Amino acid sequence: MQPQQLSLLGEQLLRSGVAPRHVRRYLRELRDHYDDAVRDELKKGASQAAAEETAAIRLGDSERLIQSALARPELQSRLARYPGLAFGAGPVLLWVVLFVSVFLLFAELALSTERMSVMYGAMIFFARVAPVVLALGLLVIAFRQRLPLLWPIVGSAIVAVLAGTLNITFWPAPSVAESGLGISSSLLPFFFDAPFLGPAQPGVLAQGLMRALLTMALALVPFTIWRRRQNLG
Amino acid sequence: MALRKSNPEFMTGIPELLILRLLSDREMYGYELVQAIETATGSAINLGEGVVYPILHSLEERACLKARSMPVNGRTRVYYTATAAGKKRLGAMITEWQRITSVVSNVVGGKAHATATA
Repeated sequence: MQPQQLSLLGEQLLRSGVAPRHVRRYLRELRDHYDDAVRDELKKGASQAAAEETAAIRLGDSERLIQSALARPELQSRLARYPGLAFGAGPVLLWVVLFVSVFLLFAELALSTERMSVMYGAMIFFARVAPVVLALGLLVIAFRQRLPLLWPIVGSAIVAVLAGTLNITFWPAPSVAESGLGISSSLLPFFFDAPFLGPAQPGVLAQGLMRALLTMALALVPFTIWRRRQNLG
Repeated sequence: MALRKSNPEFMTGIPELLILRLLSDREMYGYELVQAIETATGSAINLGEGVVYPILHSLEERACLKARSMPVNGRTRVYYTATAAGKKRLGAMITEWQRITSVVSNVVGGKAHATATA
């Protein structure tokens, strides 16, 4: 079996939802099996061309090899089975839970200005850096499994908007009493009317949405370059 | 292995049964296993050699087989062996197989038909 045929078979298996780890191993074992079969046919006295042809027939045609993998639900990728949950709702929920957990954890510990500055750093990381990493990760995982990129983009965009519209401010001062750390959302006042959320400010929201756009761009640009290289390779 | 056509309508579950049976005796890699099936069945059963791998992976996923990679002559071979769960499953499959073949033999042999029409 030629490398091109194996590569095509792998592509078809991935597009059919077979988990990448099973695809990699299946292809590796098929290649080794083919090599062993060619060697055996040569030992029997066949010419190189005849040995290769017989080995390929023995292995089975692509359709049969694909069907045999698809007949085994255990080999299917879970992400491919539930893309909306895995790439849409899951990452949003994960980010919200992580952000709130870090906030609560540091709120307990922020008894000094130094600790408060560490907390500020953590908040900035979760609001500005983590969404880019998350979006990039989701896009790469979806691409590796040949899944449609719609759900990763939707999930990443929701996280980018939630994170981008967060306003985090820190007032360092020598004493804890004078210093302060504030987190607010410029998005929530447009949906909920509560005094602690403050007034709805379209200008501040626009800034947040710009940050969300920047987040998506920072993930999509390197992803597109990487994908192009992968396709060319 | 003879290049003859397989009989898919009769093959459901048979490859799994053969694989578990052979791997419960000793550890083998895919090519070796296909050769063992050929020898054991006298080439009467044609699986299409490449299709054993999804069956092996599936059995491994269900903890019926254990796999380990071993470097051999500059490449890595994956060796499979039946686990305790696999041997238990094999026992259940053999019992089921014997029940079905006995029933089918009776029907084909005309015993059941004769009893029903008597």
